[in-house]
Amino acid sequence: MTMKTTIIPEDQKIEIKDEIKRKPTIGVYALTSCYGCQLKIATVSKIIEIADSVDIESFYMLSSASSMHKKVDIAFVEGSVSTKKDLEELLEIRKNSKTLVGVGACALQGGVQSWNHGDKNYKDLFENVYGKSKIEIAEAIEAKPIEEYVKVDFRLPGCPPEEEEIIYFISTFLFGSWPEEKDYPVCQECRFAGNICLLIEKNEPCLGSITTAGCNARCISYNIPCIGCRGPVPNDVAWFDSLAKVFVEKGFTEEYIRERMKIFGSHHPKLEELLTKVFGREKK
Amino acid sequence: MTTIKFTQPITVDHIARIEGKAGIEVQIKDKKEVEVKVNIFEGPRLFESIVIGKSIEDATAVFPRVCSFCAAAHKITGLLAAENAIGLQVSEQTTKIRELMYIGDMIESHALHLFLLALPDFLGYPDGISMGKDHPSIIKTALQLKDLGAIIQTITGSRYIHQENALMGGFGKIPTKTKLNEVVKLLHNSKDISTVALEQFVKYELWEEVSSERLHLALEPKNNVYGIIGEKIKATDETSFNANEYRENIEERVVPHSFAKHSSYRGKRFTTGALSRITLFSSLLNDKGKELYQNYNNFINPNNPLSNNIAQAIELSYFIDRAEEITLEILDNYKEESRIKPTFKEGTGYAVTEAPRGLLAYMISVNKEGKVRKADIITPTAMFLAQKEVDLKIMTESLVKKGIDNPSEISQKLETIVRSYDPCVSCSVHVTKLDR
Repeated sequence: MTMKTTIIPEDQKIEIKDEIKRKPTIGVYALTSCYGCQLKIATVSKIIEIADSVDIESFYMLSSASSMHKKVDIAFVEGSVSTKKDLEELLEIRKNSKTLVGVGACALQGGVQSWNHGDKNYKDLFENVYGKSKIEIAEAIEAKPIEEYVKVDFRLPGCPPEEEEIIYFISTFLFGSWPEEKDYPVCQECRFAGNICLLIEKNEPCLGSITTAGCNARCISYNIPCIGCRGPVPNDVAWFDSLAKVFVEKGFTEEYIRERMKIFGSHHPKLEELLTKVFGREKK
Repeated sequence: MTTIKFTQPITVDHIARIEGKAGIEVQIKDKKEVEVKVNIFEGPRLFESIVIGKSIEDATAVFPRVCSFCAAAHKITGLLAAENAIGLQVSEQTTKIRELMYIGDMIESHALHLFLLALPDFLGYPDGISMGKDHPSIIKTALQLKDLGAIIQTITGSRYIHQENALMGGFGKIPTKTKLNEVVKLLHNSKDISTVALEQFVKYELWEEVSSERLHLALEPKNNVYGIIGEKIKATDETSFNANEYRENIEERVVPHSFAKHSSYRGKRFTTGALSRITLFSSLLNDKGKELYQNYNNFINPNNPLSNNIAQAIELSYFIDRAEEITLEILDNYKEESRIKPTFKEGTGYAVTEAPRGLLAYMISVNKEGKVRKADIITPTAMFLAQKEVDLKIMTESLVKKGIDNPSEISQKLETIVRSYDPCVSCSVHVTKLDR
């Protein structure tokens, strides 16, 4: 959703209702994750100012006054759905929130715990760690992004998200507006950062060209090829196929290319289809 | 004899102000028999399974994602195990920069735990933010110390959560001298606030009811300097073992109420963490650390889990000094070096380090192409969970004996004990393969 700035004639101006004037209520929740998105939100430099301008109803990592059953204007949800209990909580959070923001790689892409999605049987992976022992506390299910179960209104990507972007998201809500998604790749920022191309010039397996921008190409600035932690570029412009072709030219194996793209992209609906164009079959 | 009024179990569905999802369930049978379970329902993330068959370099990039509070600990321990597996020796400077990054993690994690997660219990607030409204100077100090730890990790690791700059063989880019000098200045300026947490916690008594004898395990630090890296694990029962023998010494078992396993050392329950480190190795602290340890000795009871807060607070002050020392050492011998690119061969590597919450053990086995064949991780929380349950049981029994029958009073006390361990539930749910 985009907001256009227009000059409104005096007689058409609408009076802002009290409902809009009051502080927005916010909830920060976690499903299965490393708690890094919550930690990042809790430690942004303006947290005290943010806490003053909103009403924080729930923030499990920080406050024992938290509850999933309270109504909130905006819910920030990190983590993947990895148990039936996660799913119940997610449905409860969605029910109680006007706007739901998916935060981070686990919520949006299923997280690194989805690395084997589509390759290995979940039961085998589970039994490899826990054996056949029964764990009664909750039923474990294969990690999935929250969008598989509920409507996500806005997506705040990153593993973890960037401080500036967290502040931008919260600020737009405070102004009664909505955040815009970045829909261009890391490469764009990487050029501006003045880096050499690690893929073309250094033959490194850099995922910058298919990964959502917003990090100012931090890793490449450190001579480290992008691992894709901000997830594939939205709007179906993550060209896994083109990049895979370049990777093949650089001497990487099909197996490695798939694995690398799947660290943060395994749930992407176009991944297999586009890779099939390059490798000629569904899976190795 | 006091009668117990409640028959329903006391349950805390979701303990807030800890990292990850856990609850407490207390059953009291026949008005005296107490059973306590720490239910861990944070979903499993199966790290040891998902890395199998993957490139070891990609796997070491994924390991810090086990946990955000101790991402640097997982990153560095994973790197050490991976390098040991292929026999890769890194430079002295690399080791020092890693140590600095790790200490940055320790400072950040301790500051967050002490001020934002634990202290509100003692000052009577639901969270640090509301506590900060009445105590602005405390929250200012908290954020300043948290930032200090975060800045150290950022200049060494590229950011303070999931540091990508630390790689097998070294760093993508080493921190510049200018940045290191800035860190020295920051550390120096933080010294006068380094004991604020300690001064807060020593205002409160340790609850004697929760004391009971326990076995502590901690890593003997290398070069006899109190710290996080070493080769040998020592126990308070005078036994010891080497890092590469951890799988023969620490055993894990699955329990039905938790996605985190429970551990034992040679068949015995044990604990690990700041209190264990300080109990075993206080003599290796610097002069100021030793002085704090002596001055507040009344508050350090190895058998009382609440002393862990005090031990962390002493460490917070100590590690600020230690970080300054290491940074100056790096600056004295600063070399522009690039990382050693790994060459792969078959092998198995082990590494045990001292994470903020205690011993962290990694085993990684690779084939000759550098693909992971097997991986094993035991986290501090998985190690101390069994002991923690016993502490909660002892506390509940003693409260029940005193005739305290208010479930919210009991659960508040139990939550405070849980938090004193600084449990990292996210970390704890990934644990080991059973078929050893």
